[in-house]
Formats: sequence, structure tokens, C-alpha cells
Amino acid sequence: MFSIVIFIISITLIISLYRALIGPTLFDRLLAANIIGTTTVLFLIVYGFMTNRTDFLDIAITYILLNLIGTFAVLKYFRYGTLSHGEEE
Amino acid sequence: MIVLQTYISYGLVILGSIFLLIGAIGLVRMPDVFTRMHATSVMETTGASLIIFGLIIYSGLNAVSLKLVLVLLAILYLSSVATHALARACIHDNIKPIKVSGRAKK
Amino acid sequence: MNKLLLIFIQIVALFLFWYLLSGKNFILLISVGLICSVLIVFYQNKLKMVDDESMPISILPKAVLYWVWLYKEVIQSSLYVSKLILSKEMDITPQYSKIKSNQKTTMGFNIYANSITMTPGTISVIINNTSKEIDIHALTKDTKASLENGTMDNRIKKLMGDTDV
Repeated sequence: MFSIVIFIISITLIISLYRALIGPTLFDRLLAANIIGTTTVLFLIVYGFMTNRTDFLDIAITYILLNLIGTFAVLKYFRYGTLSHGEEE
Repeated sequence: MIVLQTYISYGLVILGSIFLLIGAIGLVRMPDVFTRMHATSVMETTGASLIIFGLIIYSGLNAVSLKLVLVLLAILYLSSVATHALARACIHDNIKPIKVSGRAKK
Repeated sequence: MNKLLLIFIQIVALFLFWYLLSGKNFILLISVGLICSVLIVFYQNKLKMVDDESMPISILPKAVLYWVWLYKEVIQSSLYVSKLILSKEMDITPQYSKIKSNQKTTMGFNIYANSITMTPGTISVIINNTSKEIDIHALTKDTKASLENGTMDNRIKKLMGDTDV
């Protein structure tokens, strides 16, 4: 039963990847990358339930935080050209 | 009773994944970056919350469901922060939102 | 609110988070978790971060009711946006405009902007805390109108009550 959900989520991932490939601007690609991260978290959770290994939830929590930090890092890098902008040195 | 619980959870999880699929279709069909953000907003609020509610009902009340609640709160809060940061960066990069009505061109 | 009570609640919350993630009952793990929670709150206190803003427990019971209402709104507008996506000719009229909020507190304004972004169909783009104005982007005229009638704004004002954070 969960395999149907895994299948639908995989199709979602492929469609989002298409937008990330063709997206005209940087922000389209970044939006698609962000949504791929969120979908991957849901994929991990459902896969953990399907194989009865709920330890995957801990990985999912870590992955959500990494997803946000990654998006902010790319945005900051393309705005200022460096990741250490704003430090007092 | 346990059968009913299982069927309700299956229904919610499948409904949530269908919302994910609808959001991805919107991500491809929408005409510019701001309108695409509305499509992804459907995915990461309704899709994610329906899937996680279904799994909470499936697992009952234990440590796993508490962790699922934690994941849901993190997704809801952090995704809206990320969307706001993206929209603000678009405006600062001088990307104008389109103003069409009716069928939008590609 | 009392400072010691806030520190105690913070330590308990951090320790419960540790216990939830570890899930084991060894005496070693529990004592390490307790020491870590106490150290974190100690340094947090030195940075003057333990106050009513970082832990708004006084509005928590009303916030749960607000979340239920917000979830209902999210479901309704995401059904609307889904219908729009699946319709053959997407009848969208993107709007970009400025709305005024009558929140008095910073936290209430923050909750308002975050709720706007969380609801599908509206995004808060630029927020200005001094003049309490938000630049929003709406997908259609209907979603913009649902924001302009001020239901969400009034609910958050009622939720914040007389706190002054």
C-alpha cells in the first residue's frame, strides 16, 4: 500500500527535477531544489514506515534543517558573492 | 477498529501524495516565479500535513508519532520562511511579477 | 513573567527533546542530556535570550485554537489553488500590492506575515516593522480579497491579547 505512495512521490520528484533543469532564472531552480528537499523528507518518512525502520525519522529531522540552510546559503552567495558577508573583521 | 484506523491512515496518506502531485504539476504549468511559489505552497502545507497526519494515525500514540509532530512543525515553519526569503531575493534582484489575466503564455 | 520559571521551563523542554530523540533509559545518557540542557540554558541566559519573546508560553493555549483555524483556512485555499492548477485555462490574475496591518506588537506582526506566507495563494514579500505594512503577492483577486477583509488580522490581535512583546 505504501508502495503506491512511494510511486506517486517519485513522479513528483521527477516533475520537480524537470522544472529545476529548464527553469529560466536562478530562483526557479532554487525553488525547485527547495521543494525537492521537502519532498525527499516525506519520501524518507514513508519509506521508513514501509520497511518498518522508523529510525529514518531522525535523518528526516536533520534533512529539513539542512534544506533551509542550503537554500539560504545559495541565496546569500548569489546576492553578495561570498558567504562571510557581514562579519566584523 | 484497528482495520478502520488503517484504512483512514491509508486514505489520508494517498490524498496527501495526490496534493504533492498537483503542486508539482502547478510548478511546471505556472508562468513566472511568484506564481510557482503558490504552487509549491500547496505541496509543503497541505500535502506534507496530510501525509504526516495519516502516518500519526497509523502509528498510534508513541514516541514515533511525537517525532512526526516535530517533523510537521519544522516543515510548516521553515518552508514558509524559505519561501519568504526567496520572494524577497527575487524583488531585490529586480524581477517584476507578471500582470496577465486569462490564459498565461509560456 | 518570572525569570526563574522561564529558565526552568526551558531546561525541561530541552531535556524532553533530548529524551524523545534518544529514547533510551541508560543512566549515562540521561545524565549527559540533563547536563547539556543546563549548560545550554546557562549560556542562553548569559546572552539575555531567555525572555517572553523566545518562549511565548503565555499565549500558547490561545495559539492552539488559532492553529486549528489557520489549518482550516490553509485546506480551503489549497483546494482553491488546486482547482485552478488543474483547470484547462488557468484563470490567474496575479496581484502585487501593499496592505496595512493594525498589529501593535512585533510578535503579532511576525505571526501575521508568517500566516500569510503559509496560506497558499498569498505570499508576504517585503515586511516593514516600523510602519506595519506588508507587500503581498496574491495569485488571484479572490485570495487578495480574503486577506483584505481583515479576518486573520483581527484573530491575531485577539490572540495576542494584552502582551507587549
